[in-house]
Amino acid sequence: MARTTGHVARALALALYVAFALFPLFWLVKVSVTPDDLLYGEGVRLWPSRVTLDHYAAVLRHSQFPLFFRNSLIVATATALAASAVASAAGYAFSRFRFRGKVWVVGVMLVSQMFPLVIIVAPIFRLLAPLGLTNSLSGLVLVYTAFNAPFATFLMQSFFEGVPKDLEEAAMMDGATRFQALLRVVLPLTLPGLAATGGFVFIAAWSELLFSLMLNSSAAVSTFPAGLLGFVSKFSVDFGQMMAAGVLALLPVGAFFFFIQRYLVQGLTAGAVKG
Amino acid sequence: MATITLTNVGKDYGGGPVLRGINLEIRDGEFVALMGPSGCGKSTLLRLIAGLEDATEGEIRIDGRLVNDLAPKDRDLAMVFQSYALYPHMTVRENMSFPLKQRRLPAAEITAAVDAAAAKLGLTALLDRKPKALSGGQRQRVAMGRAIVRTPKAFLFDEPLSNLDARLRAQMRVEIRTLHQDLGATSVYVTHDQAEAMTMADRIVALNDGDIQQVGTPQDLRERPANAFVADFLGQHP
Repeated sequence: MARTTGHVARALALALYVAFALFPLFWLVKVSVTPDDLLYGEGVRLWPSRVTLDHYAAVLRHSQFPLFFRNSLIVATATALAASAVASAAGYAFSRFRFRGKVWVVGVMLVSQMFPLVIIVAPIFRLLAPLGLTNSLSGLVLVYTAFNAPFATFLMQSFFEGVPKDLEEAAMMDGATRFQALLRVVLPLTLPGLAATGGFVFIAAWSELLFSLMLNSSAAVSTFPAGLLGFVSKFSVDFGQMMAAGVLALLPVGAFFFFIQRYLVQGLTAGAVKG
Repeated sequence: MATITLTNVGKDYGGGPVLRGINLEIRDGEFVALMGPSGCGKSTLLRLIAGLEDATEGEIRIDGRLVNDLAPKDRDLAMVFQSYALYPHMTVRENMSFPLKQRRLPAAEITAAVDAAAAKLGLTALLDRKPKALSGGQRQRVAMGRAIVRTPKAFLFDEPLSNLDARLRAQMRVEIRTLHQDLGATSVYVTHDQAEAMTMADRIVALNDGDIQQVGTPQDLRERPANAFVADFLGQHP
């Protein structure tokens, strides 16, 4: 009896939490399908009396969102690939080699994560402007990769540490160089970790606003989050279209996680317990 | 097949020597056991021969050739690890093919060699399984298979039976010994189990605290132990 009560209480608590976590998403969808004339009149109703897809049509046909979408996709994908590549190499080195200055390198990487981004935007701009990397997607990829690489490296390091050293030593005895052992034996085993790392970086790059806004002013190279701000004008906010664009922005991220979720649970726990 | 010669070999990880002045000649086709308590340096010695660790001093020669600066892959040795170290993402066949693929042998030759080695070890029915679908004994066999599938200069064993139950261990001792007689390959076998060393080896190298205590046939060690350590170690029951 006590056990059933416990189960029910637990399920209830979880359901409450899920509702709490998902409510903003629900509200996003709800506002995106509410016609403008009902938005304020029925503001607190859970579902509008009339539903419209006009906002989606407007966003897709009469705004630059398809362009922003494409830009974000390019930037986030390139960042995920670049940061994962850097993090794999660095993470492997940290997990397998002892070298002079290792403690310092780790320390500096850790410290680099402590700066509030706002205080380094201006210096970064000064650095990138003469190189022609402002108002460009490559500039964003460079900055995002640099800022995500340290955390991604620590993640990858823990995944590499989950792979027993014996395995690559066996590969080396079997005729592989260290690099071949990494490529053929260690990396395939860290694939879940690599997917998780790539996912984190992708999300971070996908949703980053500050640098995108400060470094790129031209609409041709604006990313999605910066584009969302375009719905806020001095005297009004076009909530309907903004929410519709927001829902669209969730799609690739949702799809991405749908495909890697299998690896994700495995990946996030793999480093913790030696298999 | 090969001779392995160690001249004045030492190893220091930075916290004092782990091995000191090791002089040892392993003859062609011989089965030599490195025996001693844990921490005596026997595994380190094996890893120096394998090339997985660099010797701090001394010379290691295989068939007269100095190999101190040679990468493990260029020493042409095969090793069986205590943990078996099977590649978890590959099937048994892929595991056993790996050393041959690394040497870029033709596919037909690889298949034939793997089939032959699998037949010798009774693994034919398991070739398509992944390591996690195998029992401990079967994994041990696959690790052996991966070693014998090619013809290396020598076999190195790092406590290969210590993760098996007593019955399987006794059976595998006989099998490894039989395999050695079939192949006639130089073998270096690390163990902390004196019974294993006594029953399997042509010669035993008794190690303690980074020094060689005695080198001799099992009979030598039993009848004429060089010192109290050797006598005491052989007298213990596992």
